[in-house]
Amino acid sequence: MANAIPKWVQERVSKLWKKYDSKEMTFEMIQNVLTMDDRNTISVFLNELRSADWIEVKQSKEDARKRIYILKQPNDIMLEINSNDNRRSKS
Amino acid sequence: MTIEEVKVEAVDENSRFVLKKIKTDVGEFYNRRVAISNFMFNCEQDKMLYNRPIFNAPVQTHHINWDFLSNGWDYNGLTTAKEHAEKNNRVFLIYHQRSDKQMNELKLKDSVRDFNDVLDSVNDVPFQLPLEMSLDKWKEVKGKLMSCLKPNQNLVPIISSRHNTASFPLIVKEEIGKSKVIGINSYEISTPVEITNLSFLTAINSKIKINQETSLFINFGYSRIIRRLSSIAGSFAFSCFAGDILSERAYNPKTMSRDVIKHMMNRKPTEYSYYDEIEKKFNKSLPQMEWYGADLTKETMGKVSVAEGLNGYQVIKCVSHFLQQRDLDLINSLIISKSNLFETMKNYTGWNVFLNMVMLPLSSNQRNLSEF
Repeated sequence: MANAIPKWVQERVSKLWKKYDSKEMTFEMIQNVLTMDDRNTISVFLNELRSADWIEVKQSKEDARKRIYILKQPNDIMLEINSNDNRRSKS
Repeated sequence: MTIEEVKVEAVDENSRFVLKKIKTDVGEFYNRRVAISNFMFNCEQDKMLYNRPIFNAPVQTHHINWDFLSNGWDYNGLTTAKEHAEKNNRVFLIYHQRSDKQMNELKLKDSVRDFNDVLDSVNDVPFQLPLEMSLDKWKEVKGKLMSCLKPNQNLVPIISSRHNTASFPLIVKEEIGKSKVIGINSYEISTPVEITNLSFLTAINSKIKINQETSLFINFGYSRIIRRLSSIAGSFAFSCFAGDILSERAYNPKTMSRDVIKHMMNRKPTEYSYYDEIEKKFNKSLPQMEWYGADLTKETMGKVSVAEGLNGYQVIKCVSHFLQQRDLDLINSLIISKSNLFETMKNYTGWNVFLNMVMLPLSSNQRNLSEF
């Protein structure tokens, strides 16, 4: 279930979404968009997305060492966050 | 300004960050202060030529550099810096800035010689502990050093964050609360020894109870920009490891090669490192243009009048100093308001990267350091 993410992560998600939509992305493809960020920042960024369940991660078929990232649909994310909030307020 | 008392005001339960109140003969201030070090003092001197006010800062430091030509310490400028600090009611602390090689080769006799060099010059007299000094040896040496001090003088022990890890926590625990100021040689938080010792420091610092007397930790000589950690500010990084006063490394043109000096002199504004308050890290013009659509470095330089007496590079460094201090004040206000510090810090790129790469992996280990 998706959770809220920090503002700086949201800003970067917007840029990626604008460029790639829900297409499969490699780390290098993400670096090409987030040019202000170094490898460490992008790694932490992806970690935040993974923890908040905003992104699917799978192994690359060409190279098992590499990962493929796919952003979840914004509508699905918002529904999940809303559902989480409703569940929290009921409990 | 004389430090009369340092007390713990608050401790954040989650992060173990400590807020300290420092009482002096002319007023009070909180910890987490970026010191006016060599470069900033030079900027103040330039501003004074134009009758412009100096910076509002309670602590001034003077880093003494080694002169390889004369094979001795370069004490030029010490008296001027001290007079300026006294005139402006600042705590004044000095530091013999050594290279890694000098630090590794440091012997007790060198430290004693340096102590004696400045014994008659300052009220807070520094003593650099060699890297392998044990607690017992330190106690023995300290007794002799204290007997040399006048009644109005204080000893400032300076211990390296690369000190022997068996002795480091014992010496810090021995000195905390006894020495008003303890210096910590700081680098880039890049070696296991540094991380271990800084973790010990944080654990010991956070165990002092509220209203109990404690010591001020001053980080000397760290890198202003920690590039391997997404170019975050060194002042922020070390403030997360019990740093109360932050005094960055002073550059010594006498130790730089001609090529390095030439590169520095010919640097363009697009190459200046600018402290981005939104991202909480340093960046340069090109990435700023790509991200914000604006050159923040150039815009900032344009906002400062030439009547301030500063050149473009000085303006950027002074603004960066001011913004770093503002961010450290933010951390203090979060501690006072009992906000969730780590959750707030996660909202900023640079701080989040530092948390994820350094602080959070260590936080579980810090709880295991309860014996300290």
